[in-house]
Amino acid sequence: MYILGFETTGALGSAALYNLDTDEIRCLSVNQPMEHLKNIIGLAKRLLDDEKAGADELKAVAASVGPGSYTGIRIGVSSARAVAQGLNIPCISVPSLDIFKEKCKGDTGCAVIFNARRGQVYGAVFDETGRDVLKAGPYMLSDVVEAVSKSGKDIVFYGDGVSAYRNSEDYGYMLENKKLAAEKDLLPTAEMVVRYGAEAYRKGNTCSYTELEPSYMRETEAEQKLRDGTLDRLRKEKMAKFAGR
Amino acid sequence: MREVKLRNKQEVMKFGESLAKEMCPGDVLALVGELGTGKTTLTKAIAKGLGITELITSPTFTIVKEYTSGRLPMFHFDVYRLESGAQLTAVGGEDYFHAGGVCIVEWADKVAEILPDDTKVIFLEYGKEEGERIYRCTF
Repeated sequence: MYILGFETTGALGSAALYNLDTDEIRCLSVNQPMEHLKNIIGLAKRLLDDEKAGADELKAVAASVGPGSYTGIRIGVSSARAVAQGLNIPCISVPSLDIFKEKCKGDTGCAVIFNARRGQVYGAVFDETGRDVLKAGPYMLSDVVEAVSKSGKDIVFYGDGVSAYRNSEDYGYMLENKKLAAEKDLLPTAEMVVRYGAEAYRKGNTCSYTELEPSYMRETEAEQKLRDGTLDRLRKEKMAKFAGR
Repeated sequence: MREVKLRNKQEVMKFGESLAKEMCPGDVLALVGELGTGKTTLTKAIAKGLGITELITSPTFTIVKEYTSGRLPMFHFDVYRLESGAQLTAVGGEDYFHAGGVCIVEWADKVAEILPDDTKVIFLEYGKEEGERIYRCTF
């Protein structure tokens, strides 16, 4: 029996298959950045074929629900929902920052920073046991760095925010003298998603496909623009009047 | 605000047809909702309830279409392409509000400032289930 998992919140989407009997994991990744939509279901099919397993052997589908790329999150969540609905199996909601807790080992904790542009990140900081030092949320990079410094702990930085900000003129200084993970380990992978997912599954933490929701943590740019007040005041007042009835 | 849950297209048709029975000359019904929430589908249901036999098609390019084969004339607006109520006024759109028929205005939030105060508004939203819609009605 298996758990299928999707990770599409970063630039490189991946799918993984977790064997619940042997704890072995197979993982496949798209080669080109932002190619999730075309390829993610195809990857899942290849994983099953490689394993010589049938779709009827899937017990649940895990998806990384964000935060991260908006379109990516939608693709992952929709794909997982579709598979779960089609096979009549449950989903597992996997928070994309929390899966980095597995990096906490020995006396080393981890900080995760996903790039949200202009000095902003979706971030979290965990201590060596995986406990929250800074709870997952939308922050300024400086908030995360400060939390790391204040903790006085040995903490390694992960996430695409590392590559985005380390050489930045405006923000790069904040990451100087910090421990940064190797480039190949920065991004979340479906392997991490199914590891988290298998544990959740064994604890009974599943949901129906209708309950699998994206976790954007921040409104989209379009929503922000709309909110900027470009809408005509009178029209707004009138709509408010209607809506208040 | 009254909230109505419609589980499928059949229920939308029923809702629209019975709404049509209560409509009076001069009524303006504003439909506000995202693409795909069923504004045109609801309009078709109302048209059926009014006894209109013509085929109802979306007036996105013509702004308004008139249907006269039913119990009351129906003026079907789609103001998606307009940027303000002033643009609708400029082409005489407001005249329809007082022309003795019923006006149905899709994307009414784009021209809200010129809608009569007694406009009936339905906010159409997606429900949780496939095909399900939630209507929030001001009447």
